Amino acid sequence: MNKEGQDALFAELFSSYRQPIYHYLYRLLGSFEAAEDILQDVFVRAYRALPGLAPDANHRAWLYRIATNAARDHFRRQKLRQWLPLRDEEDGAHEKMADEGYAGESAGPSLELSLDVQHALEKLPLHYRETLLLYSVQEMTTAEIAGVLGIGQSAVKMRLLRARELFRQVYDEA
Amino acid sequence: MMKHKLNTGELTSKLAAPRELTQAERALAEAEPALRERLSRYEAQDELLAALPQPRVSADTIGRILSATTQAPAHKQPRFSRRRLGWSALAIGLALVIMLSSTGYAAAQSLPGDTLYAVKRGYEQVRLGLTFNQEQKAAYQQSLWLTRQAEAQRVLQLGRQGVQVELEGVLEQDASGQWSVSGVPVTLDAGADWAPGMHVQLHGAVEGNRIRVREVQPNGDPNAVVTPQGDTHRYGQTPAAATAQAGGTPEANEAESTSSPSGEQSGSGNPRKGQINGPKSGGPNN
Repeated sequence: MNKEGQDALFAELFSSYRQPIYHYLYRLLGSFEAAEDILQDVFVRAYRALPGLAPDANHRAWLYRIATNAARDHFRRQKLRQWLPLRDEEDGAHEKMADEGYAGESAGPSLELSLDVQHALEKLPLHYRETLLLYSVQEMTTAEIAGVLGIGQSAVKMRLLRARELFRQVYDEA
Repeated sequence: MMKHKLNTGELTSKLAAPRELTQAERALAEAEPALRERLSRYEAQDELLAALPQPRVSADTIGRILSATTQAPAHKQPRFSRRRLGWSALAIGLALVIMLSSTGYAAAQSLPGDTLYAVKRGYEQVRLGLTFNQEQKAAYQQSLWLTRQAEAQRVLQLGRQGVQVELEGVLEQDASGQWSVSGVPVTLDAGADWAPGMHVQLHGAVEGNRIRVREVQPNGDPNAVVTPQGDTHRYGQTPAAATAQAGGTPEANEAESTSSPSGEQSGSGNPRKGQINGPKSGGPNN
């Protein structure tokens, strides 16, 4: 693929996936600012890696794999304790979500409920959170998730099962 | 009928992915109260998580990402096909003359409103004209759209009020009703039925921190232009000129344009036009 072809493919991927990947990163990290920074990192990494991408590659799984690895790097760098409630950012998230009109959306859960769910997600270990978000929010199949996480499909189902039980536990405790 | 009977452990593991259950597996789970409760709980979790609000990427971040990738200097280097050596040599010569000169470099970095911006656009047109391979041409055209988007983001960041910009991309609308084109915030006046997801080409000017749209062309229909007031005319013409050329009054043309059973204007096969003109066909004047 020549450079112009790569640019065209990148434009298509950026247009199609920037929003869902941002949502995935926000749910994974629990911070708008961190999600925007990592989103930039993801697409810069993707742009650089595009020349080596196999022609028949699953672009969606490839991008989510980059996003997942970038998020893990972020956690490593920041040495975040996954169970630590992000109190400072909670308030910011509350305001931003309200500013963007989420509170008025009738179809989705209420703002309070959304924040409760987010808090529960943040209490899950990262590998459970990734799996649950990819299945339930990004609506991937377990086969796709296996490709993203680089593990077997049965391991995905096992993680999913544990993630669901743990999510239920922490959500009910909240 | 299932080939082998699943034990409870196997089925429990499968329940973790309810969308992937077969009918037989689902029926087995439904028959067992504990599994039925678990399945119902997992489906409720999926529903809850899928309905979480989606934050939107800010225009600033989109601009930063585009600047860090497709707008990086390395990608300004032109690439040419080896097939048409004569034309390629000419193109390379032109590229060298323009890109290696300080004027050319400054032109390549210029933004709408800059003196050298016309040079940059002229160079793009020359290069586009000298690209004969249709695939390469389409790819280059697409890279130009990205350039226009990045330029629009930049002039908005710089707050260059009144500067005229061109933009091409996908029309989007956020939860608060604000419009954007591929992440660039735009202001569209009421009067036409804009639909999110439409691919549009537009002309407008910086007003505040948005682009106020003067006219919009749905992509793929080079003859149709929709002004913010909802008038449709040929691209490059004023609505009045279009009316005069058609030999009728605006009202007559409007009536003609809505006479198609499909709601589309005559002379166009673009299905998006029906959406753009939707309010006219259903409006009180018809």
